[in-house]
Amino acid sequence: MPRLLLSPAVITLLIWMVVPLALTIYFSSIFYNLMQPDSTGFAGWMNYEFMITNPAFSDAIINTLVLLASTVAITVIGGLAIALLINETFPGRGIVRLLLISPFFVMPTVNALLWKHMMMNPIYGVLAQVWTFFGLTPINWLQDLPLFSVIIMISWQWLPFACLILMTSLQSMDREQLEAAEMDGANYWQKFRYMYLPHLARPISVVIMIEVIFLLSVFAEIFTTTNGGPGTQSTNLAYLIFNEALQAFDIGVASAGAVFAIILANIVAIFLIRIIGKNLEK
Amino acid sequence: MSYLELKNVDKYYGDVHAIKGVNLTINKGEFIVFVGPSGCGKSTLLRMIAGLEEINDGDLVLDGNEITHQAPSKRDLAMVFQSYALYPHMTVEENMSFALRIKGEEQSIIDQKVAKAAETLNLTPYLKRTPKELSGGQRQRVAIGRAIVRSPKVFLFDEPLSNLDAALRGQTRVEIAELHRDLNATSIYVTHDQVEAMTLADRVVVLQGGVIEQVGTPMELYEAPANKFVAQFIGQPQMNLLSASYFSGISADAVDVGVRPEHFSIVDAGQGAISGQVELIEALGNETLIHVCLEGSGEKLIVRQYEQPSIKVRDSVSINYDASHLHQFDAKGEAIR
Repeated sequence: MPRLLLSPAVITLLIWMVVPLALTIYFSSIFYNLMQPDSTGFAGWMNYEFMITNPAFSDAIINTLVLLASTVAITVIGGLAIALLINETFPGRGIVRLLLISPFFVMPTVNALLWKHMMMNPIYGVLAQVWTFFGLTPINWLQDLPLFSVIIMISWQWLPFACLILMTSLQSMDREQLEAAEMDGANYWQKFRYMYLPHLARPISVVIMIEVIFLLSVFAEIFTTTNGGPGTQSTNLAYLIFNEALQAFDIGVASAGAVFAIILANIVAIFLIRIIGKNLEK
Repeated sequence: MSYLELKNVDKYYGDVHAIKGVNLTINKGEFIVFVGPSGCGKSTLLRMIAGLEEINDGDLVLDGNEITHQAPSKRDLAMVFQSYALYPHMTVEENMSFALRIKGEEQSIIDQKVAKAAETLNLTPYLKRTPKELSGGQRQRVAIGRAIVRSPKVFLFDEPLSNLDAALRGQTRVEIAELHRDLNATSIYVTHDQVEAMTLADRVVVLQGGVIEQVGTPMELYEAPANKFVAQFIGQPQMNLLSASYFSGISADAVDVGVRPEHFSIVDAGQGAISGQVELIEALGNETLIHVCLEGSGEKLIVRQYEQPSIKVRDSVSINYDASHLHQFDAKGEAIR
């Protein structure tokens, strides 16, 4: 009986998941190119072969992982530092907190355009002005450091999220515990290492989990700024799949890429649960 | 010989003068209890000694060294907090050894000290557990163990028993008394519970409104309170305070006279100095508290007697007092000796 009552929800979810998965796998096994409607039929592993032998593929995988790892590292470390900094009371703390959180409410495309035009433009961008002020040659960010630029944009967007979660959990830190540590002779670093960090282990795990889910499929920032280029320097897996499907119009190869993306996501998920999953069970 | 000395110590919170020039001398090995109603400043004073609250004015001297503005960790004091403040992610052993590990003590010495403290506190079977796997009383003992391991000059206790239930509180109180006897360590203990104050203390410090009202042994406070506040604060039920007109042969300055409930006795009608009507009889088994409303003035008093009473509510009674146990207070509320 309980199963029967649960079934509407479970079945809906299953359909939601299984149908797109099945279709993706099906498309990946047939010849399906919008530019060549006459080439049809079962393709076997051909689409997968095309995908793997595409020189952009390994670049895309590496870029995806680099993007993921560096953004998570920057946001968690930066978020932790800022959260600890504004945990102390000071005048105007409320406003500072509000400003710190606001980037999270900016849409990804808007965020990307802000950085592309306002900050990173080599002629009129703010960063170029700063470089010129110090007598340096402005950096052409999107041309010379495309992946790094994307990482900066995404980190700016996700830093507030990490900061917000860590800030709220810092407030639940027991004050007497810190005083006890102080009486025990712990300096700030020792308090950080033995009191704050264990207390924050769980929220940090949550931040990493959520960020990984979203950052594996970064697309808007790349689409609006670098278009994956120059070459494949800022192409990640999501962008490569888009490229195959809607630039080359090869649905079959794109679907094969999507299957690789699913596998990659699962590998990352297994590592994630192994490493930080146990923090969540406490 | 004074070991810990507070000289004219002041504390301000903005405009609020929380501790008003407190002077206190504590001897080595003494067990001092700070007692007072909530908000009297007893915890603040303890935290000032610990270094967790800044001392705004005055001096604090420990063992000949001025420590008024020293960091808490440099003062060589250990504190047991009300919430225990155990480190939740560390085992009992790690909790107890934390201070020594921070200091970079040798592992063999740490192990030895922790083992000894655990032995004293009956914690040896629980060394590998984390605080959340312990009962309230065990957590309390870990908190004390964490203090013992450091062998500090002074132990500070901030209402350590208030989170325990009544039975455990009584038991832990006895354990703390025994521990103090064994270690003979100088201790300062804050509580609002006068039973703890009376049973544990060598000397009790009664505080009110950031001022010391009286310092003395528990019996001194009970038998010779310095003023009306101490007289009514110590003792359960409270000392009766009546206007001086009921009594004869007392000082001319006396405005109020205090009599402890056990120093009143019910006598046959017309035989006693005071007469009134019984309002309520509380029979507690070992003793009986008789609440009497006095004729004329309507003042109320409580008589404690140890026999079963034969009187009933609404009976008219006559009451006598023990003239050798009167506490006379002048218009300012100070005791007249």
